[in-house]
This record gives sequence, structure tokens and C-alpha cells, in this order.
Amino acid sequence: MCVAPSSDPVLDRQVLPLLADRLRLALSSVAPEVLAGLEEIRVRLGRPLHLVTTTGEVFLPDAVVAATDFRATLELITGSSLYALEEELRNGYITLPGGHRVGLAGRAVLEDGHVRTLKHLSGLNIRVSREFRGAAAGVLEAVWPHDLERPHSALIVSAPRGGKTTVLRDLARLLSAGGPERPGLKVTIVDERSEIAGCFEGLPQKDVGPRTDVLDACPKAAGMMMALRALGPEVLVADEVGRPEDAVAIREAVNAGVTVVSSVHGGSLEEIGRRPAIREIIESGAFGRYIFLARRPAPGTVVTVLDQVGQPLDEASQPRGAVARPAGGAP
Amino acid sequence: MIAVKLAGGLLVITASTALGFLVASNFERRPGELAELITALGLLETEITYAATPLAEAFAGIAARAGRPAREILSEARRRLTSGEGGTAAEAWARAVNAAWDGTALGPADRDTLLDFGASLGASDREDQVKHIRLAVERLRKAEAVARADAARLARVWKNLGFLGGVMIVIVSI
Repeated sequence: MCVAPSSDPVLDRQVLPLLADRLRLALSSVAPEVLAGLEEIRVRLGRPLHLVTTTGEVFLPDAVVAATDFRATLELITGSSLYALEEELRNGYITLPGGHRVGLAGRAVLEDGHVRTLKHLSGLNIRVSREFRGAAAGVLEAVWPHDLERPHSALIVSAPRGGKTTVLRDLARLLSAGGPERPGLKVTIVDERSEIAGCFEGLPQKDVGPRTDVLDACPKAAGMMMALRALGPEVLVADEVGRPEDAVAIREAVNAGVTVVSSVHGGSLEEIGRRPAIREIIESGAFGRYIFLARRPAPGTVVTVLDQVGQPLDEASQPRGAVARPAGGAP
Repeated sequence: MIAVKLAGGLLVITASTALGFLVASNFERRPGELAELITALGLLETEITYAATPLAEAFAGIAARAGRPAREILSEARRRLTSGEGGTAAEAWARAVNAAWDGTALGPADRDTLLDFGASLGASDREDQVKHIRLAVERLRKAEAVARADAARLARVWKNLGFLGGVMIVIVSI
């Protein structure tokens, strides 16, 4: 209740209120530099609070999560309405206002071999979602060379927590906003997991640009087709493609003259090509750019950009100094 | 002198009759209040089972339709849930029940039923929530049946007792 402000509005207003009082107090004793790089708060029943930051990890031995702390935290996260989150329990995570995502660990209850729900929850992983405006500024020229009429379709590739969603969101914002060298484009984001725009009750909580529509919580493939039919986008943005129906939807969009910007887990073109659906898209030449990100030195660091056939772009058009950094306060 | 005695006696009788009616009215109000609570919990079950409405929203919706004391309890619980005080639903519910308590005609057993029900509120899945709601409704129904019988019998007794008690005090003191 009486917690010293950590001078980080995202943490103060959206993340800390999700924690039980005692855990919140424990967090307030953590150095502000550590909190500034906070990526995950892991709450495990009976074990100390575990913080994962951009630079490492911290255990808070004094803050062992008691059953009452865990229950209070769970209630704050679910609005005391766990029963209303069956779909989320089935998928194993809950998306919160602000686009933060809480992963759940517990005992799975099966029905016909599928997970029906989780019971006896014992672990929560609160992933703090931060908006880094300018995270994609370094790759904009690669995705949309200013002498081209429209941007290339692009696939952002990195290991988990590499900054894919952050770069994807900023790219959507930049393409939507336009600028002196490029006109703004109509963007539709199909936000299956509510991570890109962080919609809460349909309203984007992140800046995704003035010409952007969001299909929130919509299955990707179906959403992309809906958007093509109804929203007339010039750019379609969707996170983490990989299912066969995603490949169909992407081809459909590209053939309709729509630029597709998406992301996928992986380390190299070869690696992602092992998944049949992705290989099919790569071979069809739908993507004109492959952007590889790394977690070090900071999430969102652009390692390299490949062209349609997997060749690195020439030196001149490789992004320079493209490291995602927090650009100060939100707009 | 007689006039003063008469006036005093009348005053005593009026007061004790009023007291008797007050106690009687508690017996008469209790079945109705229990019925309101049963209706409200029934609505909550519907909201949870069919609409999966978040708790705070469900409370607000039901409070708008319910009568005393369900309305007071639900709207107070909702206020506490949404105030950002960081408590659990069980705490919000218990505080709301206790806050509304003085204005009700409910008995201590009814309060226990409500508090027991609140302890399970919000922290489990749909089936479990429904189980607890049904249990509470069952207990309240039994209490309501007893309360109706009491109301018919004891309310009349207390009304008579109040009047006759007053008369007796007057007779003794003359």
C-alpha cells in the first residue's frame, strides 16, 4: 500500500498493483537500476520471488511467496474472476491491460487428450511489456527503402525474449505514421495474443500509429483474411506465425498486394526453414526481408538483415547502431 | 393526579407496544431478506456459469436489481474490489457483509453462511464457484423456511407481549 514510487510509470501503475502487498513491499527494496531493466517477475508458491532483468536475475530471499500472497496476487491479476478465464487457462497465459502477459503453471486437467484447464496453480510469470519507441527506426530503411513505392514484406526472427514484438510494434507504428520520406500506410494488426497493441477492452494501450486498426484476440489466419476482406490494409501485421493456415493467409495477402510484417521464433533462416509452413512461405518468396534480432546487448538488437533469397543486404543498407532503447516517457 | 397517572400509563403502554412491534418486525423482515440473498446468489450463479462475467461487474449488475440487504452487500463488495486497495474478493465480501450487518434482521447463523461462502469467492474455477454458491443457497433456504415459521408465530407473540407487558407494568406500578 505504501510503496515508494519506482519512477517507472509502467511498473507503478500497471505491474506493481498486480502483486500482493507483501511482495510489492519486497520489490520496493530492490535497487531502481534493477527495476528499470525488469523483464519478468516470477511468483512461485513457497519459493522466493524471482526477478529476471535485461542484465541477469535476482532472487529475493526475504520474499518467500506464501499461500496467501500467491492467492492475493492471482486474484489481483484475474480480477477475482478466475472462472471467467477458461480460454486463458487453457492457453496457459493471461493478457493484462498494458499488454503485459502472465504465464501460468499448475496442474493440467485433460479432456480428450487436450488441456481443458489448469488447476492448483503454483507459478506465475509476469512478463513486463515495455514500449520502446524507435526500436524499429534502424530497420525502417531496410524494410522500406525510401526510393521504393511500398515496403517489403518482412519476417522478424529471434529467440524468445529477443525483442520481436517490440520491434514489430514499432515497425507498425512507423509505417502507420509515415514521415517526410514515406507516406503513412493503412495498417491492420491481427493481435492474437494481445501483445502487440496491448488492447484492453478493444482499445490499444500502446502507440501503434494513427492509421492502424487492431483485430484484438483474433486467430491470426482468420484475422488476416477478415482484414483483407473488410479493412483494406496496405500493411498486415501479425505476431509469431508458423501454422499451415498462417502460410495460406500470408500468401493470400502478399498476392493481394498487401505488405505482411510478421515474426517467428528461431535463430537462422535454416532453422526456421525446418518448419514446413515457414519453409513454404520462404520458398514462395513472400518475404522480401528477414530481420534477425538478438537479446544482447539489449533486446531488439538487430544482428543482420537478409533479402528475399537469404543474402545479406549490402553494407550501405545494413542498419547501423540499431539497438532498441527506451526512448524516455510514453507520448 | 389521575390525569398524570393516566398519561404516564398510556406512555408506558405505547412504548412497550412499539418495542414489541420492533422485535416482531425483525422476525417479519428476516425471511424477505433471506429471499433477496437467495435470489442474488442465484443470479450470481447464472452470471458465472453462462456469461463468465468478471466478479466486480457481476456484483454491480446484480446489485442494481436486488433488494435489501443483498444490494448493500454486493455494491459495497464491488466498491472494495474496484477501489484498488489490493485485497482479495474474500476480504471485500467479508467487509461488505459486516458493514451491512447492523441494518439487517439476519441472525448470526446467516452471517456465518455468507462469510463461509465469501471465503471461496473468486479464486477457483467455474465448477468450484458454482458448488459453493449452491451450498450457500441451500443453507439460506433452510434458514428461510425456519424464518418464515418464526415470523408467523413469534411476530404475533412479540406484538402481544409488548402490549401486555406495558399493561402489566402500568398495573404493577399503580
